[in-house]
Amino acid sequence: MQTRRSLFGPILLITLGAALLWHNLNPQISLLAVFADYWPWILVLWGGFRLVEFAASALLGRRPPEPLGGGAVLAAIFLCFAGSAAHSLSGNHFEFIDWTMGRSGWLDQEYDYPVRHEQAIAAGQGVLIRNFDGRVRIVGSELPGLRVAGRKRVRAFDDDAAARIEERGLLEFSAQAQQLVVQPRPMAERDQRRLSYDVDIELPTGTPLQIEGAQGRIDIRGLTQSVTLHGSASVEIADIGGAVRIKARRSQRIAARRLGSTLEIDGRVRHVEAEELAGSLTIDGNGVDSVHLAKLGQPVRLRFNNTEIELQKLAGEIEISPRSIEILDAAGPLMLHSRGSRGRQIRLEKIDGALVVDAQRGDLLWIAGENPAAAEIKLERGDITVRLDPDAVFSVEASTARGNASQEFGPALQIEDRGRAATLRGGRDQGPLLKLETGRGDLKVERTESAVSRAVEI
Amino acid sequence: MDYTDQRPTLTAADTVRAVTVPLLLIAAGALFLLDYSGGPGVRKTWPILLIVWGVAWALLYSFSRQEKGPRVPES
Repeated sequence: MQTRRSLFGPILLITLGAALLWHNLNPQISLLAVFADYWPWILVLWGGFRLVEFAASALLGRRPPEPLGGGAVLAAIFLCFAGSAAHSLSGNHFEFIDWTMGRSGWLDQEYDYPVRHEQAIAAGQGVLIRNFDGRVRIVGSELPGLRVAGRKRVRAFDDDAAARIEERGLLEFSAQAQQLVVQPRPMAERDQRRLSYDVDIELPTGTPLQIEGAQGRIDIRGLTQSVTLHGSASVEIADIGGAVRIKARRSQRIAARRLGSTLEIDGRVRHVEAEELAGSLTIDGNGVDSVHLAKLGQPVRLRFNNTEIELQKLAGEIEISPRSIEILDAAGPLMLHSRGSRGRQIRLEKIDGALVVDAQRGDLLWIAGENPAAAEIKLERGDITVRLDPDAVFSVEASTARGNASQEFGPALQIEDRGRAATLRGGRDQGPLLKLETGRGDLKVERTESAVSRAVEI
Repeated sequence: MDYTDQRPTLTAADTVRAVTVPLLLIAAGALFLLDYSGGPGVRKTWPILLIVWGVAWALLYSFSRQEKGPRVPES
């Protein structure tokens, strides 16, 4: 059967020419923006036109147009890619292919709107702040109610679009089960992504606070009751009297200072800082890159990235990075368990109390000082170095399956070489037992003064 | 002169073959428009295109078999 060509191609060419002519005569109208929003109609009209042509040819007994082949399908796929790219780049969030890599649209502008609300809070009522994106500072104050002041930022293509989103995202206040709920009106996700806040929220100091769905950055300070936070925001929290619980979804940073009670962090967070906590600290997370802890008055329990640390009190500090763990001036019993193929250098100093270390890779330096407590250190691979004061009282049982042993305490300690393996035993006055074991690495028991003089020489 | 009817004869399989791609184009365009107007996203709804394509393929297979007729065993 003979076929004929479709008229859609010529019509599309004429339409394109007309559109370009229209743009040349009205340069203020962006063809890209029109294309970005309406390109799917090309697919619909193309398909519809082909159906009409086919139906007409069948009814009139004419030759039908050629069926669409591989070239047409490729052209349609190309149109989908080009159209979705234009749609994303003109400021729309579009998940099929996010061409903007999460950034705002190229053609977007930012529009600011003032925000100011005041709302009464009943006695004993808590506050739930929900679905805020942006920067929110929450401060306890002597005010009887809640006050929100700041600005709302909308990223949009033009004034009308910005005003539409601003209107949709008005703040709502509602009372639910002993809580005052503050949230932007629920809106489509694509609009929500264009809206962010930069606000100060003041609330009475004795108000329990709960935050859900937070994104961006949140600062909280000066509250006497508990704070619970769920979300992916970076958090700075200080001067809180009650317990603080943070469930992080993908937070960049959580920093807590001067808390009067417990701090619990779980979820995915990259950097954690905690200083001057009167209560216990628990971190049960993943994806953690760095931890800085200092002056913690109650038990500390850390568990993340194949690492577990438990201790009773931290007068000094703990620094953890992807390559090292340093613990200075802590009260034990201290338990440190570290797994992972990359390995970490471990440095322990001024540990008061029993010590248990079980690590896979990396060297360990323990500056035990004058009065070492009993210790059990086991490495799969890595050197173990213990530095003690010259008159420290201790006994040692150390072995390496593949490595050398050395000591600086004279005849009190004996080294025995067994081919590739070595052991180190002995002690002074039946002091606490230091049990050291490495699968592959050297053992060193050094005098602190020697280490100092070596450092001076270097 | 030959006065027999010269009108092309279209089989059901020809019809399915001719309308499949246009229907897919319309469906794809509709899914994108639905997404842009706040409905479910293309990322979730794209399998509808596979379903349309599969139905068309099944119809084509069925009509082709009918037009060829039943198989006659060779004697």
